[in-house]
Amino acid sequence: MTAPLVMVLIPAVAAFVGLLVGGMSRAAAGAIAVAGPLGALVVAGLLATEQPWTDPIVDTGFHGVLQPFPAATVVDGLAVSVALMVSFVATLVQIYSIGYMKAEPRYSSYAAFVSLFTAAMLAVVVAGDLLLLVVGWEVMGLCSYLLIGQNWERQEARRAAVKAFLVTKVGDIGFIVGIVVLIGATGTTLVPNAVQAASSDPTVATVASGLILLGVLGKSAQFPLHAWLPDAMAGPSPVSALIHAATMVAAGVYVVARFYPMFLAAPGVLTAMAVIACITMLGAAVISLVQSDLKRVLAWSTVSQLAYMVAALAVGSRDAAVFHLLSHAFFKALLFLAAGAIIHAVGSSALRDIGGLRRSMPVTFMTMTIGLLALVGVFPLAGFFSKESVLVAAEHAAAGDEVVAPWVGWLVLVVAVVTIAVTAAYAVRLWMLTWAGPRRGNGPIHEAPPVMYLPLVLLAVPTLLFGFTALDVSALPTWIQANATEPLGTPAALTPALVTIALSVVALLIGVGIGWRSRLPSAIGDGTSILARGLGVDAAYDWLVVRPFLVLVGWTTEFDQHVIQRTVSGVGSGTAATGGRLQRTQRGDVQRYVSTALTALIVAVVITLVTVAT
Amino acid sequence: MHLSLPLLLSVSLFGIGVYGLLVRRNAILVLMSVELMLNGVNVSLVAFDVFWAEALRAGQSLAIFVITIAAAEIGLGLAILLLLYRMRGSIAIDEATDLREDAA
Amino acid sequence: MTSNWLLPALLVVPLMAAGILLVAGRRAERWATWFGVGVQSVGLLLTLGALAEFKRGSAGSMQLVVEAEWIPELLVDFRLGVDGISLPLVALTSLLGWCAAVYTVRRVPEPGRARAFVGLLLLLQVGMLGTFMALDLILFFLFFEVVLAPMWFLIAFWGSGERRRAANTFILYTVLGSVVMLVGFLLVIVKTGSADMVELAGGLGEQMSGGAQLAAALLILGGLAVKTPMWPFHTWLPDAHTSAPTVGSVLLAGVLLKMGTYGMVRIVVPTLPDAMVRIAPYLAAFAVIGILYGAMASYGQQDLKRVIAFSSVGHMGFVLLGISTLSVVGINAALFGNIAHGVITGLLFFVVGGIKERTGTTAFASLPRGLYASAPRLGFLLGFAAVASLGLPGLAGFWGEFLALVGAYHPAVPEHLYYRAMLVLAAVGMVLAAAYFLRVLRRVGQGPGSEKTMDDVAADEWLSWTPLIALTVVLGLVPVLVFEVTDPAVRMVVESVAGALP
Repeated sequence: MTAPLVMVLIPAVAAFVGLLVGGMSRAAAGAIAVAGPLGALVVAGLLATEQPWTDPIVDTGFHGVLQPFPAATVVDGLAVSVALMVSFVATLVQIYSIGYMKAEPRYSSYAAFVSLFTAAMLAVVVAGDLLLLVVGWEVMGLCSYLLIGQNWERQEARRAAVKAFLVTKVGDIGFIVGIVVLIGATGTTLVPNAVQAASSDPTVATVASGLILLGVLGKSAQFPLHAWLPDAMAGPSPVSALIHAATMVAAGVYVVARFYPMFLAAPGVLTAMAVIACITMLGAAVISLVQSDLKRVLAWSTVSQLAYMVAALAVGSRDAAVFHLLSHAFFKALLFLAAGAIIHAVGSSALRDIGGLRRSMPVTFMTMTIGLLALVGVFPLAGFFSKESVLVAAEHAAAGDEVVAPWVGWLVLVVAVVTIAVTAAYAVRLWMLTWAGPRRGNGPIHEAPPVMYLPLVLLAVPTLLFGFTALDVSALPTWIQANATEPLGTPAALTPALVTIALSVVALLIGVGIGWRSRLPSAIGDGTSILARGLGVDAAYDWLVVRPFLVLVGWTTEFDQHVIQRTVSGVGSGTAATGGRLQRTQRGDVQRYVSTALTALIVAVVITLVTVAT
Repeated sequence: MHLSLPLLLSVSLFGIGVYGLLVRRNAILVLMSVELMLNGVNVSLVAFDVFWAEALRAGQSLAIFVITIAAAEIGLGLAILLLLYRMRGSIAIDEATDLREDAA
Repeated sequence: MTSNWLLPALLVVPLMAAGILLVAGRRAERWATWFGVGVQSVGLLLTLGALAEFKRGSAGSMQLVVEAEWIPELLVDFRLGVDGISLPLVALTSLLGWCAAVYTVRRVPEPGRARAFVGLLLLLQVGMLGTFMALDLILFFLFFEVVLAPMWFLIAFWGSGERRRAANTFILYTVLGSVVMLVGFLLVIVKTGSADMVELAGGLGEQMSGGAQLAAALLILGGLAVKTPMWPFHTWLPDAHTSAPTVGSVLLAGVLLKMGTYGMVRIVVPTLPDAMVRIAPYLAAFAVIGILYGAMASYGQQDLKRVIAFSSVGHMGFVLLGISTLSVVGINAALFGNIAHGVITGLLFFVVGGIKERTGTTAFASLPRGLYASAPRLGFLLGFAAVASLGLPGLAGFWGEFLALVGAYHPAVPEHLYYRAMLVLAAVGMVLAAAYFLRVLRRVGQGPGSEKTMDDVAADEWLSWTPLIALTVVLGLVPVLVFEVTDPAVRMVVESVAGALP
């Protein structure tokens, strides 16, 4: 048993044990729930200290199409850094949930699903075998479905859960077929080998990465498969923090990073990624500006931020994408957990019920402010550095230094800068509506219990400090590429450049200005405008996918009953009718039967004689 | 003796049997007609046996078979007729049409 | 070879047990179900013995073979044996038979009469096991038919709803199919002068002329397709499932459907390779239509059992797609899909039977909502089985479907692009499968919550379902357990096709 597998198995076992015995004692369920991700965190930490790893690909020998005991794992800087982040956030979320889900009757199954999710995500992260990757990928999707539907008494939660599962599953058609193509074309299931083989053949690279991109769009909630994520906010806040902000949505980005050489061999796919990322980035940010629900603001913001990562990948900088992935995970998890604390205190997530909470919830106020500042990209928080690295990458591409055409670089650069302004605007609006101004709504407000605000404080630390890793080339970039199974040249520094700093500071100030104007409660809106409802993408789905599908279902059922079924019964009743007609000859008169038989005999004899004679 | 003579006898017996089978109403007579037909066949079997005179004497063995079966058949037949008579007081064959199929 | 008695014993034990129940008279009513458990346990032990005796190294060749002359005039011999293709199915049959027997102990369906019920189950077991072990065409046909009569009685006497009609449709339809199949068998026997399946597969069948091969293959496939059931020969299945008692549904879905696809891999592919290469693309088309059609029709059903029945049409579509690729991966996938579907759908029907027992219905209109709350464990199992059935990776249902797609990427037949189009359509079917199962879970499992109102899963239910739950997980994580047995045998089959390829 290898260390990465142990890391995957600890939370998996915790999930199993939690399901089995969690119902008996709440305390035990909580302890098991925290133990799972914590164990994984310890293993990940041990792995991290062992760098450089002697043997990055741990192949247990069971691989190949017909031996899918998919146990081959990859341990490199990319995997270990993301694994550290995942298990860190998951541990905090489990601790937080003990407080947040105190009144939840189904806590034990909830905690078990979170643990199972952690295991699945870690499986994706360390997967050295395409089949292990698929297993982790889909189990994550299932956990997401289960956790969004945690409160399945509510119709909204039921709907959102099914929607999340099906929309991502649509992307997974592409993902699965892409993996099949990759296996079929390269003849191996080992990730590094398959990627290497595919990147040397442009056709395979384009087809496979294009198909896998579909799955990525679904998981990472990019246009046009993004519509599930805002609805997924029907799940409990810790779930939103872990799954729909920090980790699972990042899995799509991670998979592209893992397969990066193959994507680099397919510039067309990268260009498509860039265009999609730009649409998503700006569109989601604008939509976020008019939301009337605390969590939906953050959800659209997540969609927009994920687009930064996808854009970074599209313009040829994997390291920038991974950097933003990690820093976004910290500050977005922080924001969602803080939102959870507010909802816990206020009892509603509608912005009109929240406001002026600064004095009553000081810890949450401080940490959430840090998170929002990081989201906006204020120096020296993590978000500043990671977003800058994306801009720098786009600038490089615009200068024609990358595989994609320069116009792609320009596009990403312009849209990313504009989005910074919009991001600043919605972040300021959110801050004003939540903390500033008079208290709306009534009832006493209390600060979250320590078990809930401790994770907030712990997440604020990396949000404050993580960005500085960008200043030294030997810190993060070298780390990410350490022992890379698919080296991408010498690591480049992720340090900000003067031009991009200037651009983003200007954009940021404009954005703050816009946001400041919307400080009035009247700016909340009722969330019914076309913009607030996501620009009609849901309606488009309804018309283009759901209705045609239901019509087809209707036709199929009709066809089954009226054509196939009727044909079959027709054969039956036809036989019966023929029998009925023949029945009439049976009159019960024996002598008649005999004379018929004799006549037939004579005719037969005559025919025989005639044929013999001629 | 020429083969044609016993064959003529056989054919006449069989023909009389067929006639009786087809036209008589009385079930006993119908059964007797069947016996006549069987014995007509028996005559020709024995006649051919003598004519061919082959080692296994297949014709004679077959005739004995037929006789045995005919005995069984007439036994069963008479038993059925007896029951039929008890049930309905008549053994007219064209009245016994209980097994007819009513048109569906 | 000292353990040749194993396979005949597997048949003789349940047969004799059924005979004992027949002569035991009324006093047997009380101990009949326990007797059934005992007999099935013996059968399970014998199967374990066969598994232990089976040499995995030579899984490609027939093992534990028993031969006896039977009707030499008709070229029919009594010949039993197992190889890597049939062994997993024999094991599955024994296991499901055992589960059914345990389930029956406390749950003989209305109108009771445990003795007859158990006796019929045992007779069914003989037919099912015999089908998978027979190495002679006529013997295969015989066992294939033996299965029908007990199943007819199970549906017609212990069923519900329009049970007579369903039972009659079932038997007439499948008998029609198997008569067609018999004609095909006779054609093969007449043309080759042998009914020995091993000999026929080993090259004797290939000597038939192209036309004769095609005719025989179409006839045999036609018969097997009814049993599978391949679209559009599926209409008997939903009716039969809806009416059958729980264990009847379990064995019907778990074992009977497998006899069709097993027959294809065992008989048609190796014996009539030329014809198979010509038919394969059409088979693939029917398979994919079945996948999509099954999913759509399943979504439109208003009854839980009918949903699962149509889902079987879709799943068997994946199995057929695997076979139609005629490739090593594809046929392995098909055999795995067979086992996985047997285990998972068996479990699904058990769980649905449990729901029916508690609520008295399986129609959505009258089923209470919120099963997750009213019986959490039963709800969990429904969710588990549904998720396994929709092909979640990591559970057994996934590998058969996924590898069928991998097989379709590199089919052994020349129409590569065509098969890749089929691949994409089949992948769409995987999503549709998710859609209808989520609809079921939303309609039955979730909903405005009610209190814990139902009896949750009882101890005897746990006992009979646990093996299936465990297998679903184990086969999902370690599918190589099946592949290491099937792979050598599949390679033999594919080798015999190789010569027929252009």
